[in-house]
Amino acid sequence: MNSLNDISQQILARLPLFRLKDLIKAVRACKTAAEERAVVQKESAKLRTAIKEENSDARHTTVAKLLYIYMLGYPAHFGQMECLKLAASPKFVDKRLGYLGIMLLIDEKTEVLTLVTNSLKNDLNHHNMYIVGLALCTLGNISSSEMARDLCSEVEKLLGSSNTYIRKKAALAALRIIRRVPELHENFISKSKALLNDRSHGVLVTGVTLITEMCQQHPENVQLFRKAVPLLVRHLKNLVSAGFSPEHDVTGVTDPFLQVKILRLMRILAKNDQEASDAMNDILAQVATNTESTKNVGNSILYETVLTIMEIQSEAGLRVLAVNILGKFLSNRDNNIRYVALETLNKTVGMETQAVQRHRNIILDCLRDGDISIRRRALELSFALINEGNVRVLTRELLAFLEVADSEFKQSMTYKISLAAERFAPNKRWHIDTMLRMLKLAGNFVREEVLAGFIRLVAQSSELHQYTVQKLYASLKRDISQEGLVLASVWVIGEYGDVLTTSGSFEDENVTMEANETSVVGLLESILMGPYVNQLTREYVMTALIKLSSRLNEASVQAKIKDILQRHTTSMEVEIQQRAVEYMNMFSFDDIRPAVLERMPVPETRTIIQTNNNGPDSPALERSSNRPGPSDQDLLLDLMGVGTASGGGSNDVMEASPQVQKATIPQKSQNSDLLADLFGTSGSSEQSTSSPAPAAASGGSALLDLLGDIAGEKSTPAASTPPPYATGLDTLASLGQSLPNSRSPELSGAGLQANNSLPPVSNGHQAYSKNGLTISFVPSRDRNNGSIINIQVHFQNNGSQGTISGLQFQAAVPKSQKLQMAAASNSTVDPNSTEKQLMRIHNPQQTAVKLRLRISYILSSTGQRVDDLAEFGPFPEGAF
Amino acid sequence: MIHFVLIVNRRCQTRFSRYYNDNEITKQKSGFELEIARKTVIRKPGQCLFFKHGKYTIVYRIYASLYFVVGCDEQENEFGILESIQAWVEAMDCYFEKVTELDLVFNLEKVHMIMDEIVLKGSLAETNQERVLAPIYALTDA
Repeated sequence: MNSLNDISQQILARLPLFRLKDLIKAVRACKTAAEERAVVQKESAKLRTAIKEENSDARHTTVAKLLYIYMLGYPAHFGQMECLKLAASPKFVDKRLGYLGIMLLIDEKTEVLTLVTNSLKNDLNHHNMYIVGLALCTLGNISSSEMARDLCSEVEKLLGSSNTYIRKKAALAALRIIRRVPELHENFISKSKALLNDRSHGVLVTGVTLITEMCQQHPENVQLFRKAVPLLVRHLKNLVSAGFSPEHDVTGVTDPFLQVKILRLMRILAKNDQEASDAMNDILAQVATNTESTKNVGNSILYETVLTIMEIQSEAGLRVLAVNILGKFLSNRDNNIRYVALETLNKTVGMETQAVQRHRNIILDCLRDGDISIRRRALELSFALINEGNVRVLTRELLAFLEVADSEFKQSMTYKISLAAERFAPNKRWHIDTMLRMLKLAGNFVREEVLAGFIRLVAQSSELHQYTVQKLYASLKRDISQEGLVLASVWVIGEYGDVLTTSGSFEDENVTMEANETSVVGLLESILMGPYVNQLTREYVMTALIKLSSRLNEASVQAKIKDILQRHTTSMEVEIQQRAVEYMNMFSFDDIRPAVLERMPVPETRTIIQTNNNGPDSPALERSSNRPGPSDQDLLLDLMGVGTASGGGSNDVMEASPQVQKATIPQKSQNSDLLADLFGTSGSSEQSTSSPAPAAASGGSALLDLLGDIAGEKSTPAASTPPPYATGLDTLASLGQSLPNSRSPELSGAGLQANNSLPPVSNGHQAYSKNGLTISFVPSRDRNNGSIINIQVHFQNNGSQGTISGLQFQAAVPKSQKLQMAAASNSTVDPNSTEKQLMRIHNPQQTAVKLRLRISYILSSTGQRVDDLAEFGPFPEGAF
Repeated sequence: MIHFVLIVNRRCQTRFSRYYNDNEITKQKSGFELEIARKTVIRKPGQCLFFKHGKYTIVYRIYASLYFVVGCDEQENEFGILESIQAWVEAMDCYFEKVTELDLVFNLEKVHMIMDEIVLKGSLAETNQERVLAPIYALTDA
């Protein structure tokens, strides 16, 4: 028995494969791809010979096999002519297969296509409607532009045919023609209007599709077809309210395909047209309420309705209805519907925010859905929904989601959360808390500008420095793996380390801890030794350490810092080595080191990004737009022999560029002030804030000395609250002020008294008198601006102690006022002479003008420098 | 507009394919089909029936071991496409009397013809089963 089977198999295998079925069976019997290829190639060869033989009986089988091979993926172009010949055959079966072959094998690019045109022309006029339909179908599928032009008139004629089958196909063939050759669309306009009145649904569907395409291609057609809106409305009404129609019913809904098409056409016709939209309001409401949404069919219609309502000028009630439908979709268990609803809501949230807010909870639930595409869309939608009212709740939810989100989401989420927090933060503390939490959760995925924004925020909220640095210290102690968090914390600790160590014990997540100097430095060291450190982190830690060296006082700590820096002077990374060496060198400049390591100036507020596009372009644009600023400032600073920014070539964005920018922005405003109005809201407002140590002031004055004896203005050392400005910068600011020498004669000319005579000025108020030096003020109100007071300062030397040289005069005014000083006429007061200096006080609130003075000079008699403090004020009433 | 229709089985073999977009993809047809088939077959039961692939929106539906995959552009109503797929399968079911995968394999050209009646160059032509199948029956009668 078995051997019989084997023999019969072998014989069968050797027989030629006569029918298509045999070929298919043979191919399916192949176990490997190589076998299949062999079979197919053998068959291909046989087919080629068959084609050459021109046997019309076998043609059908030949082409069938050819198509099969083609579908498998093998080349079959040699059979194209066969298909043509088959299509020319009178038998319907052959024709059908021939045209199918043509549709599959021939595309526009082959020249054979032109031969098809003739054949099509004949068949378009055939008496058998199926053959006509076949020709139209082929035409519709593959016609090229030339073919379209040739056969356009035929198709037009057929559009008016009495046969619905033909009309239907003709409509779609026309669709193809106008897609290929848009200019021909005018031919079909009148005929297509007639199609709308057709009774057959098939024709209606195709007619509507044709008109839709025409309107989309040529917007001017929209005008023409707008008149058809009432007709469409009537059709839709019939469909919705008609009873059960077995012909068109799909699970209870009458011809949903037609309904959907009509709705789409209505959408296009009524866009931007109030009248048409009004006509549709009723029917749209009816469809929306009557269609049941339990099945997919109903949902498709509702979906299309919602889209239509959103795009036309519908009335408010209708829009709310649409959003409610979408809300219902959202609570549907079927994923498809939720996906579609979220997608649509994303598009429409801009228009109907109020209504969408109501569904906020469901949207937040979707964040936890199993399907990632739903999660993604829900996330986008949630961000769009944030406003002042719900920012707390939403951010809380989003941060909770951040914890479990996939990494691909994390980066965009951190960015968007920081944006939202910036725009809608109710108060600074909440803002800082939110950013902190975000850094803890996803510090590794935080972008540079977000980090920069956070630092800016911390620097600006001076009252929260202690809180912030404590929190950051605590979180760093717990976890040093998140790079973003590490960078931010290291920077903050570096800046405000003294606040941290002097703040005593604090509580974080029910753990009381205290940060002392050793532990802080120890923490920084552990970061350096840790496994997560990279070059950027090392750079930050270096800088933080050197900053701390001037903020922390314990000797052991200083030694430790030196030790760590020393270790890195031999680092392999050039940047690190450079920093370490430079910082080590700074230790030998103990007198100016603290000045250099002063607190950073508060950066000015800048939003993280201007517009919605958060590509890499905008941040670059922002930074580059600040670039032109420094250029002339650089020149200015260069003139004075001071470098532009400390830590020149580092790629440490946050340290270098804010420094440059913040150094230069007060510069810029200084210059513009002088050029425009002498008083502006420049950065050099005087406040009774302190420099950390008197050394700073002397350090500052050392800088001044370097640059020549120009009297500057300084804030006097007072309480120990951290100053937001670096005194170094103040120096530069004041230098910038006094630089345009052309101004000073003008200034001094403003209210200058001509006489340098010895007797005290009659209306002067004496402020200080010691060692032969008398300082008196002559106030006067500015002519142009009532809140500005010009004070002439007279330095008189009665010669009792000889020449007074190296005179430095500094003054401070209360917080509500601003002070500007001009250069003194001379810093050496000869005996029996008077030198002058002009001060201007801007006093918008008209508070009492009090001055705190710091005077420093060298007496030639003793050769010693005298430093003195004095208070003056207030000016008596009526002084000016 | 519908750009292409594919029927693939679980092993990502193409059983039927039809393109309506002027043969943009014919060169890398098999590679393209394989890619889409892979993406479709790998989806879990709870997931959405539509997803994006390049510029196409892919809508698919599973019947027994076959995946009916339709690639359309973004403007199409996805639910409508789902319904069309259903209509098409019902038509084939009626014609072949309980259609199976083997029917598709051995009668490929008939499947093409049925498809031609329902969708013409990417737009829906007819969904009524009777009218769709009439020309096909005429074929065998003639």
